[in-house]
Amino acid sequence: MERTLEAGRLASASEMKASGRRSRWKSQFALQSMVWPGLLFLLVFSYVPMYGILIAFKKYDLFLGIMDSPWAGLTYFREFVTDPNFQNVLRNTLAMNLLALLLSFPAPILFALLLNELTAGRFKRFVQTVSYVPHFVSWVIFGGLILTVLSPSNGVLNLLLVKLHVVEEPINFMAKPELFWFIMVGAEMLKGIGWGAIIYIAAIAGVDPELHEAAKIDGAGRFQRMRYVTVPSIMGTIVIMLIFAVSAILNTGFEQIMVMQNPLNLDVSETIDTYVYKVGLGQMRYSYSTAVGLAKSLVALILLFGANYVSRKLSDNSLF
Amino acid sequence: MQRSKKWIGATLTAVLLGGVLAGCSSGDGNGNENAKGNANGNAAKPADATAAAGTNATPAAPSEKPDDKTPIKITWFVDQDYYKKNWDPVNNLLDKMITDDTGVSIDFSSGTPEKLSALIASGDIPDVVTVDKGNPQRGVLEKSGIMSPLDELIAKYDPDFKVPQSMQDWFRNPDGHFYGYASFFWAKETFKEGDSIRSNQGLYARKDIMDQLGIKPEDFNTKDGLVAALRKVKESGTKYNGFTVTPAYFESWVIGNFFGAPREDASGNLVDRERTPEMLEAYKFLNQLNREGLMPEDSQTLDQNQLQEKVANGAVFAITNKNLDWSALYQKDPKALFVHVGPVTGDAGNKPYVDPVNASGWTLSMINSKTKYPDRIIKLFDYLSTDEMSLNVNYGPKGAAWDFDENGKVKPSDAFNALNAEDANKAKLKYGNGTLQWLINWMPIQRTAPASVTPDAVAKQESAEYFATFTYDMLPFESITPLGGTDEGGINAKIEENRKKQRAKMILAKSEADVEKYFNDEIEMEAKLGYQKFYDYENKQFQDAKKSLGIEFAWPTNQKK
Repeated sequence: MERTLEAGRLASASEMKASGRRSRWKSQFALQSMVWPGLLFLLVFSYVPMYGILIAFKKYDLFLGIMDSPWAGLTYFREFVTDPNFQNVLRNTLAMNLLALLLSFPAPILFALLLNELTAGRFKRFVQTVSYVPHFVSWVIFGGLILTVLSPSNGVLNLLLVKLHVVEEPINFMAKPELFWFIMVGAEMLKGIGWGAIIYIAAIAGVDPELHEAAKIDGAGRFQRMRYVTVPSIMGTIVIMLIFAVSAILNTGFEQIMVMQNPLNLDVSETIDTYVYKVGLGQMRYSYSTAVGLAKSLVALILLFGANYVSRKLSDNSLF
Repeated sequence: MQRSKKWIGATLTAVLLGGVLAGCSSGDGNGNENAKGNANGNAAKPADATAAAGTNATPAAPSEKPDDKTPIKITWFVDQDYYKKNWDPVNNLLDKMITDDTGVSIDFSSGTPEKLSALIASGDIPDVVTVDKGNPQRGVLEKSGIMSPLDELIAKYDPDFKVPQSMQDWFRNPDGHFYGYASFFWAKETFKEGDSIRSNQGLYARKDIMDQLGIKPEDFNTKDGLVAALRKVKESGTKYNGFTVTPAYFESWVIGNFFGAPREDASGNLVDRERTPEMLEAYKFLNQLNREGLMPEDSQTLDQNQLQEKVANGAVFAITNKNLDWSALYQKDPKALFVHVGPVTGDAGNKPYVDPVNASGWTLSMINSKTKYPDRIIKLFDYLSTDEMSLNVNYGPKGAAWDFDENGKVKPSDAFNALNAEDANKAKLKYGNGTLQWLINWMPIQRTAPASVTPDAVAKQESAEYFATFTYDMLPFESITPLGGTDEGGINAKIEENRKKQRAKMILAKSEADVEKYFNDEIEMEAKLGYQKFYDYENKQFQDAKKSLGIEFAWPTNQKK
């Protein structure tokens, strides 16, 4: 109900004739009114639920409700940070994300660039479609496929390696902790490359053809045009995507890790998300889970601003 | 122009605002309008209770068919993700039987415990909820008033409904009520001569391979003998069906039990089996098997289904988990049987034990306190929990799917056998066998189990009876695990996660010294995770359970003193 009152106040305020800003506001009334639904939507679905953050600071009881549950202060934050597994979990999360940033972030860009060089329209569309189909397959299935391919007893990959005498004994890939991060990042890349490329393909489509023509006349080859025309033109998009990727560095895909996890790689496969799921949500410890979620969002926010700031200073590209 | 634009904007805003407001207020309103539907329609239909009494010569309880059979539909949530059932009284004989007898149609839904949490949080709770008795959601449901106390419902609507006293006592809350009816509950007071609690643990090996290599069941009684037997399998390079036979897939906790890891010390305190010397011995033993190539690395990574597949393919020699069903293998090759062997004993020469199936059952089914049909549902519970219905939900309706033979044992009908052999899923769809076990009592089924004729069934029967002699009374240990939502529950989850990891490490360790190191590392790690608090909680629960059961000691070796 508060929401309505507030909106009502806004509406009545707009009718008052006062300062210059007010009159400008009034003259833009029709345009402004189109923004309100969006704002209202944000308010109702993003800002109002934020009071749930309180759960993180309370010993939340489902039946006492958020307001009546007793305060717990920073207990749950402390529990997470002082957890003996904290370092391990943080390390895994960061390592997998940094690796992804290094390998699977550039992959769709490269893919989009190469795709753009394909001249046969039909083939190009075919490749694009094939490449983003995996995105629509759920991780449970995709992860299962990967596990099957890598299986030591009947996996295609092991069969190939053994028959080609690359290795003598089949390798149990999922039991090798040192390979897990690479398998994860590789799988993610495989699944996301086509989908991730869409945004770059769109950006490339927006590059002024005159630039290409001018470069051609100047004698630039294909690779040179790619390097000196296309890439700089989509730099803005790349930087923005990078900023997003940096801010999401504490998130790891949850399902894919749950699917690929086993006791042998648990040391390197447990991430913040999976750990909190197991010891928090799985045990109905909502306060603990919320506290960790909140801490993660806070770090993400700081990283987002940080990355944005750095990028604004260095490249003139930024989100805001 | 300016003016009209303004109006368009304002109107749009108003409409959208209206929409949002409507969204806010549409939540309530359909609360209690339907309660009038069916008060007491006793005379609604002629009661055909006589139909049931007819041919039944066995001492099964008289079937509790409710009088009120006005058709109703109830919703029922089961917190088991795998469970799927579409109510189909047209094609499914079991569903038809239940709907005919009670008038109730059930709309089942299922999901993970987390989904149940979401249901609880949203307040949108089905009429009946079935929850694993160990899941954290159970406590929430019982303590919140969401569910009706079953004792009150029984007293009010169905005073003839006899729930075993031990079930009531075991699940009674501090408020004096019990809220759920347990499936697979073993009520001691209802035991008859010859009843025993079975175990899903044991030691089994392939008979055909044993015969081929000259291995005897007694060889498995000692560690050396067991290792020697497994070595024979490995060294002979036995192949089955093109697969190299893997000597063993053993579970550490079962081996620890065989070595006699105790659960209670001499002064009556709880002992955490994972920390006993016997358990360390078990890890060392499994580690030895692994290092010798008798138990492969993937024993730690395969899930139950994958193992099942290996067993069904005939690629495994010895296992400890009875739930790995070898029926499919036997269907193809009547000689490929798993028989009980051993069990192996440890260096200390302790008596081996196996954990029985939980005497306190598996799931609890509870009735929503806001349901429109508390009377009908409690009668449905009564009906479904009878001995006869336990048989019917297990085999399909009597008459169509099975009947008693002259010895009072169940004899599946030919039609059922034919369809089941052709396609077990089709049989399930038609007879509903094994699809509604949420109020089942296993004892009548065990008592009337079909006489074993095939060697496969005989072997299964024999091993079940054999390992039943190694069980102990597990009841005092069954409710010690901390509830969800508590700090102890959190610690428990963390410890479990660590143990999973360490178990794999110990079994795959490079040397015996490493096993010991990991074992001690784990104890140290658990101390940091808050082990003491967790242990104190479990021990207290254990002592309370013993007190309510009226016993001083729970572990067999202590009791003998």
